[in-house]
This record gives sequence, structure tokens and C-alpha cells, in this order.
Amino acid sequence: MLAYTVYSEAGGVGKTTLATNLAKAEVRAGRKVLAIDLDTQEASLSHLLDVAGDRNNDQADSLLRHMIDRPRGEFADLIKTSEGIDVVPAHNILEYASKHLRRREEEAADFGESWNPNKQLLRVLREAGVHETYDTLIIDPPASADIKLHNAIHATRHLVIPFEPSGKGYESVQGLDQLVGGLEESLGIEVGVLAVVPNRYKGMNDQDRFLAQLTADGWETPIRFRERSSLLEGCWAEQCTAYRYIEEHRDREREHELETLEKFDELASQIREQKAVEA
Amino acid sequence: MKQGSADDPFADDASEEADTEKEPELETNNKGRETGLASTGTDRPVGSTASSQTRSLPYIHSRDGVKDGRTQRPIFLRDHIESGIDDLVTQMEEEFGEDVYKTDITEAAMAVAQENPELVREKLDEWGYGWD
Repeated sequence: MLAYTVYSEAGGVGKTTLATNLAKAEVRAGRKVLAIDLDTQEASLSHLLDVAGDRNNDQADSLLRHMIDRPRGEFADLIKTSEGIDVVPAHNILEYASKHLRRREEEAADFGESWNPNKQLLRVLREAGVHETYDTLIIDPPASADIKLHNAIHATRHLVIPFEPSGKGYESVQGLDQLVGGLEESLGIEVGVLAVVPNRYKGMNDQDRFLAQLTADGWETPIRFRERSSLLEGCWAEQCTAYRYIEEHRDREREHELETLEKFDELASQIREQKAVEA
Repeated sequence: MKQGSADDPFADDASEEADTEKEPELETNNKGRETGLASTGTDRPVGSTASSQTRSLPYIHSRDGVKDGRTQRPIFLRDHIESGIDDLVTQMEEEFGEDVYKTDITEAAMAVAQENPELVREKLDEWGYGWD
């Protein structure tokens, strides 16, 4: 199974849009896809795919309940399907993930059990047989580096990093390298980067300078997305992927938008190859 | 973190089992470092090894349990000091907006004392040490 977390330290770089459209590209490639939304913000993957209905329902089961061994039902019942993508939607209780996971850790400690709050997502996914059911797992974590991100990285061990080619964007990749380095040591794992994806590329000189710097650091950026705010804002308004938006909500085809779809497909395929070659 | 693929977390049942068992912190760190070296290609950015060692996961997030690596110590406290720990727990929980373990607070209090021996001296002085 191909598994990765789409993450960037900088906010507003199109993390959720990228995760959603990569999930759709995987479905288009004939693969069975599970997307997990760990972001409790209103503008999250489950909102974009219009499956966030139970977010406020405190009677509903949630992924976090499974992570603290207090499930209300089967893992399979958490899943909602949209545009062929299976999604575990975000629930507001995730806001308190740290508190609940640590309370459970304390309870375990009282009984002399060893229980690491950063490793519970992988346990839940394994017990549910996700790796036997799906070809691709994509996790969309919150933009802040918290216990949910630690769980996401521990469960997938691979990252896809969107970033805006600017000084701030470059720094965010450097910062991420440090953060992940710390996680690798403390969780005893190695983390691979399947793709670094520049977004809102305009071909300006200073952007090229930061991309060259990134390449010199050892990161390749074969796929670049240009500014497509009209398309992506349309997706948020209609709550769908870019593929469905162009098919159903655009009255005429725009060459550059079709190009964007091709890039999502190509990026998804490159990510699959990265994994296949080096695994 | 390196360009390309790492291992498959869903493939290695055996090693994950071992991973969740208690291990001394030092040993876990060494294991992580060895794995990293063995499979890191030449494309790893120069300098990232050094930087990744300067910033690791905070202590409370890297341990498997609150008692990990700690030895239980019977200590002798007067009642008002002991209830003062509970007050401190309440205060810290208000400040952080989350649960804070009593065990962490007690050890943090000892660490603060060790870093500020002059404060300890003052307290002992108040309790009657240093009388001529």
C-alpha cells in the first residue's frame, strides 16, 4: 500500500486541495483510496468533499475514539464515500486529541502497560486491515505540528510537501526537515519524501532562485503548479475535486485548467513510481 | 527525512511489536540513528543530520508512558506541602489548557530547585538551617 501524509509547516499553501486532488487522481488510476482528515478547521478535506456532516455530532463515533480504545462501532462505519474516494472525516473531538490520548496514556501507565500516544493511528489502521483493503492511504493533518501530525507521520512514514516558492516557503521546508528529524529519532522510524510540490509558481526570478536552492539541498521538484485561484476557489464553493468542478461547473473548457488536472495525474503517478522504485 | 521512499509501516509486524515495548531512551535513539544511516542515500541534504539532532520531540511526547525511565521514590512531605502540589497541578492545567501529570510537576519542581539552588537555600534558611 502506498501511504503518505500531505504536510507543510506553512499554512495556506494548498495542502488540503493537493491531498484531495491526489486522492481523486489515484481513484482515476483505478486504485482504491482511503483519505483520512485529521484537520478540525472548517476548510478541511472532509468539508471540500462534503462529508463533514457528523463533525459536530457528539453521539457519532470518531477516529479519535478508536485511537483511545473507546470505539462506538466498527472502523468501516467511520468511512464516507465521495467521488469514489473513501474518507474518514474529521470530527471536532480531534481538537482535544492531545488531552484524550494523554489521559489514556496515564490510564495505561496505572496498569503498567506501555502505550505511546503518537503510535495509535497506525495501530487502529492495522487492526482495521486498511493495508489489505486499500491501494493508497492519504492523510491530511492539521497545519500545526501536534500529536495528530506525529500519528500521521508515524502511520505513513512518507511525506508529500506542498510549498510556495518564496523565502518563507523555503524556510518552511527547512523547518520541516528539522521537525521530521526529531520525529524520526524519537519514534525510531525513517521518513521518506515522495514529492516536494511548488504551488503558485509564476516563473519569477526570485521563485526560481528558491527552487534552485531547494534542488541544491537535494529535493527534486518535477511538478509545479501555477496560480489557479479561480479553479480552486470554485472547488471550495461547490465542494468537489478540481476534476468534478471542471466537468460539471465550467461551461467551456479552459486549456490551462485541463493542464492542471493532467499535472495532478502526473504527480500521483510520479509518487507511485518513487515508492515502487525505492521500496 | 530524505527524498524518496522509506520503509512500509504496514509491512513489519515483528519490528513494530518490539517498537512498542519499553526500551531505555538511549538505546531507542541509537537504533533510530543506525536505521537512518543504513538506508540514507547521498541525496540527503548536507547539514540535515546535525540540525535534526538539535531539535527532537519534546520529552512528554517521546516517552511511552509517564513512568518510563523514572524510578519511584518514597518522599516524606508535610500535609500542606503535599496539598500544595495539587494546587500547582490545577494552576498548570489552567495555564496550558490541558491535563498535566502530577508526576511531571513534582519532577519539574525538583529540576527547578536544582537549577536555582539560591531559592532552596532561602527556603532552608526559613526552616531554620544556618542558625548560629
